Amino acid sequence: MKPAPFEYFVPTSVEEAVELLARHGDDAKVLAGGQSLVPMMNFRLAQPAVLIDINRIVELGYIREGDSSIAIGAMTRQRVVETSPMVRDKCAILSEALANVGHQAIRNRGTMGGTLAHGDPAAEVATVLLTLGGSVTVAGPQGKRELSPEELLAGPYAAGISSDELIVEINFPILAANETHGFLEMSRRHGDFALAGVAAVLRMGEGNICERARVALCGVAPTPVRATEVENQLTGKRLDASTIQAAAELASRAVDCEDEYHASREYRTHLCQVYVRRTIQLALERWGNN
Amino acid sequence: MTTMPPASKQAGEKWVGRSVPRREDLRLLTGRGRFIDDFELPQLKHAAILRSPYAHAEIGEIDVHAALELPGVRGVLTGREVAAMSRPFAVGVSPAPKYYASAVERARFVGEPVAVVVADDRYIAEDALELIEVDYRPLPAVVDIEAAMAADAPQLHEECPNNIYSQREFVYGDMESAKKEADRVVTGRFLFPKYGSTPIETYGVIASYDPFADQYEIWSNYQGPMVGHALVAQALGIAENRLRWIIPTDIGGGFGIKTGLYPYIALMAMASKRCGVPVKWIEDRQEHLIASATGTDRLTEMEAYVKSDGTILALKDRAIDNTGGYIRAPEPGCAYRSIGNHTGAYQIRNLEREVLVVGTNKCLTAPNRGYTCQHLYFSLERMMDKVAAELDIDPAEIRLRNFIAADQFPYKTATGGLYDSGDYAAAFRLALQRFDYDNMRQWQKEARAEGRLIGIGLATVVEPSVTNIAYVGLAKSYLERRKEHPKSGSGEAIMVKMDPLGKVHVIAATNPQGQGHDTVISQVVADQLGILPDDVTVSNVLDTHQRLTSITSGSYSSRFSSAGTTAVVLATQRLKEKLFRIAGHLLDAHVESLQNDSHKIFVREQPQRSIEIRHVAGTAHWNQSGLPEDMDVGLYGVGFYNMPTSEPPTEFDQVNSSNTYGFIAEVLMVEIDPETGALQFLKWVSAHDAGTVINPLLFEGQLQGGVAHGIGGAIFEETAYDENGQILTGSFMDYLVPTSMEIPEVDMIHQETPSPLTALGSKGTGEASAMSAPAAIANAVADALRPLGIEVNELPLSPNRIWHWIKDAQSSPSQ
Amino acid sequence: MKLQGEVAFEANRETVWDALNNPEVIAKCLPGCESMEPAGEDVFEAVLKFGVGPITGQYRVTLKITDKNPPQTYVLQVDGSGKPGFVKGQGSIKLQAQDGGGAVLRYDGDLQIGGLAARIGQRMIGTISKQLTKQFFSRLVEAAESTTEDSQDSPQIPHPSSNFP
Repeated sequence: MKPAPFEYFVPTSVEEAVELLARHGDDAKVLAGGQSLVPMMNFRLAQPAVLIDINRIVELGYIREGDSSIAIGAMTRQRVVETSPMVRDKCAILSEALANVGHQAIRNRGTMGGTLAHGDPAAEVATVLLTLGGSVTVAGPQGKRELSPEELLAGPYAAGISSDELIVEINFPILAANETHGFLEMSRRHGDFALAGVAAVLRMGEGNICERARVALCGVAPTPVRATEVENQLTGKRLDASTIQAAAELASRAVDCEDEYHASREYRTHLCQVYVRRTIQLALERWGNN
Repeated sequence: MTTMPPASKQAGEKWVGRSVPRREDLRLLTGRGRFIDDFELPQLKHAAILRSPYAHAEIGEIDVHAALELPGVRGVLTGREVAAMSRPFAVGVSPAPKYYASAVERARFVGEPVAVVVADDRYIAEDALELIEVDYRPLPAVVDIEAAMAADAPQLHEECPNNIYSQREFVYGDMESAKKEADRVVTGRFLFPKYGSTPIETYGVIASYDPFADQYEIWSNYQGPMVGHALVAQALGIAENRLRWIIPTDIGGGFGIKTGLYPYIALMAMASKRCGVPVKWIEDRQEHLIASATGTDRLTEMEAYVKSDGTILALKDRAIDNTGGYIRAPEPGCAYRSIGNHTGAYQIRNLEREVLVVGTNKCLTAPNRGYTCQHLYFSLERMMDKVAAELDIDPAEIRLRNFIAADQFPYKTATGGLYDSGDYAAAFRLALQRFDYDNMRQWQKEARAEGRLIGIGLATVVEPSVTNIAYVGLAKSYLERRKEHPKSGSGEAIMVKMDPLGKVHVIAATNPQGQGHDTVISQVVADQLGILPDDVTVSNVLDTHQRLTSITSGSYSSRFSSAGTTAVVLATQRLKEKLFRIAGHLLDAHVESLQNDSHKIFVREQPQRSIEIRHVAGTAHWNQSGLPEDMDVGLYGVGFYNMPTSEPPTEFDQVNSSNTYGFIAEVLMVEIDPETGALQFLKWVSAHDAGTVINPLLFEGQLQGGVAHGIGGAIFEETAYDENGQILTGSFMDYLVPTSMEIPEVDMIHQETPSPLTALGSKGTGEASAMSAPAAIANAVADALRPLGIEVNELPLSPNRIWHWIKDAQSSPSQ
Repeated sequence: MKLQGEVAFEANRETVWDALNNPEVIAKCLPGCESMEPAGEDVFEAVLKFGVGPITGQYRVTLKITDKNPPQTYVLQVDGSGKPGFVKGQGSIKLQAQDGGGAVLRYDGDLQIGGLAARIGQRMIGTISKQLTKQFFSRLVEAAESTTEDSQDSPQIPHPSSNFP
């Protein structure tokens, strides 16, 4: 299919882009990597009257290591982040999650800001952000503001951002020495949207006690969600097979989906529980190996 | 009637059997291939198709005025205009529903064409589609096979009550005695899903109507059979010589799916005529997934009458195929084309069959790779395992007990199939040995004791190739057939010519879609003439105005490697005979005393009496009166070959539905993760016997592709609809074609029992594991889930499905 | 697909019922409603233009309210078509009064989606439909609460759809 006609702008600065968004608002869509938007436009499912191509905004491509977090410019390609030795060293869960985003060819073009702005329910990057508790900086006509992951994910498809705002930076907290992590997802084929995915970061104490657990799920609700019942069940406990199993079962409380062609609601819920268990186990094994 | 020439002995088997690299690859890999979308014409315009969003709806007024006003739009063709400009397509059932190239008063599946817009480019054409207003009045839809035949089902066509397009019963052998002799009856009910082969290149048509000559020129990546040409000419109401079809050399895959192209050819021909411009239509992927062609979905109920030692005495089955909103040729082939090999590799002499072909509000069908052999073998091979389980006999053993024996070939099946050659037990034993079957069974026992769900699956099938179009006659009873002209055949035409300097050029129209025909042709000709394949040039374009073709021309049912190559041998031999006659004339020697090498012809016993081939060729071209008196001018050979085993059906409804028959044995092992229902391949041995292997490299490619398609059908692919006939799998997000990551390493082993019917002893190999893998994988999963008492009778085997089976089995009390 | 849920109101049942039957209120609650015209007894034609995520659409929707059983239940039929496809749905709305004022609304509906959205957007349809339904009802809650406030401040104005004897 061919897209419907659209007006096309190529700003070269954030200011210019924001000005265009303010002018066109609801009629405009931002083109970053295009890996989600362009297929939707070619299907004519999305028919923005205006396309604002931000690929020439060079200032938005960077990865900066800070004291407690990594700042990534919105236009940084996913593949660049995935292969960054610094990210692998300081925030390995992000590198691992990125390996599950589509295929390498898609990650060559897809951007860190783009996936968050698109807001797919099964998006891995948003799920990791939610788990780590990072933040997103957006620029709008009123200036810049920071959003927590929860604010960003107020509703499906990045409802937390308004149509005249542009994501400019994402902040991922660096994992501490006493934090372990895991990321696993189940999909029909390599690179497909997750039927269920789990990101977990556990702060561990002596004797395998979990001091703090943050567990987020993707693909099982309208947005990535925190599995708070699971987290509460793990916190303060010694992690072993039975505590993990008991906690994993509570993952069903966070599931909010319908029967679909590829997976029934029941199957997805069960998958979620299995994958929460496996991801926590993976994190625990990783902790044991260190 | 042509006799089969003996394989050349003089030049030696130098090139056939070698993995000669493909000459097609360089141009394909460097972007120099010429596919349908690469062709341009002056003033060419572009078409987009407005398609029904409803599965079943009456079509009222179509308001095109806004579309016509859009700048760049050349014209719009609506369904009612199509009905005025054409006749319904002929089809082999009676009474036949009316099937036009577009929906007329009613749409009967989502995606059915309703109108065509022709514009300066595809973008504008699609903009114009959105401006067309159609008054649809939705009707209730039906998608389920049994529901479609029920009394209260929505009726798709007034001509076909209960939505039944075709229905026949057949009896072969002595069912009564067999039933009496049987110790047991084993029953099964199987559901085979609807899916296709998704060639990487979609449909494409360029149509140009010449109003002065009242002639159409069509370019299209159609794959035959050329029956389609006759059908379109008939539908358009024109003589066949006014419909020129050109099929480019480069096509990105066919797999039977591009057989369903011809209605679109008719549609675009009419669009061109209507709008007064040449029109190009390149199907996009979404169109392909919803409205090109897939295989049928089929419901089978089968009964096997068996003795306690595992001998299958008789089969009784009822198979219902669903061809969708209409039935179009070559259907109802789905029900009849595999009749010759219906009993597979086994000595089953008694068969009772009821076949039905029905319609529902789904898209239409075509001979998807395997053309319902995958449906047949899914049922038959699952039944073999079920029989084995009920009689407590090993499933490998039960097959060995029922195989046709090596000394029984050529073997006539109960249904009229003539299996040319084979040694099934030997090939199967090779596979079992390679798989280390006994030890694997032992290992499986141990793994099971640990609670692992491990399964071993077998499938042993006969791979038919070179369709004999006579099978279509089975849709009618013998008495009805007698009133018509008989139909039979499988012809292919090749010309090999030699130029004045002695170089060889082959003119072919074998309609390749990526199989590497030109490479193979060069190997075969090289062997026949004692020259190098690189010395042979090939032009392979099917053009009804510039090539000799038969009604069966095209590349489907793996015709080329048997019928095609035999025609190449014939043509080359005839050229060679002529060369030798001229040489004999010039050397004053008897033809029988002559021999050749790559550049000269000489007297065998007196090699100094020789003449260079290029001088022989030179004589034929430059000194035509120097030729023998009774010889025609011109230096070429034509082979137009029809396999002699392609005869019409008998009065007992027996027909040799194919011509050459290969054999495949799959032995594989899977593990199911009980927590997720996910399936993993642990080991897979695949044995193939396709007679003489002409080019092992190409052969291996076919086999690997067959495995991928087989896995697709078994686990991933389905053209799925909801209960309202809305298609759910309209993109590759949801129609799951396996990627390379999902395909395991398969250990391929070969056996060659040459065919006595073809010049090289080769058989077809194009369907390969596409027809056997679904059965083998289903058997493996059934074996893995047997401890839970789970039956596996449907596909695809998605994790969701498997997990639900496991959950239901665990929650219900065991029997 | 099934759409089911419960919505809690502080406003009393009669107020909510009135809002549910008031075309102006319905028009305000329908996401992206650009216009709504009556087209018969309890039949309305609306033009909706909305975007949820990547899917933008302009739909012409016919709404029909039937089986009215005030102030408890009615059945809403929706028939819409637009570029991304068509939509056909039917749902029952049940209103129950709560002790101490307030009301609870239960909706139970079946939605048939067809066309482009169905065949490409399967995984998005559930999310989007639920989102739009949520938007509708949260706006309805707002509308009902503001009516309550209004009626507390100003004298009761007879409304055509309320049950005055």
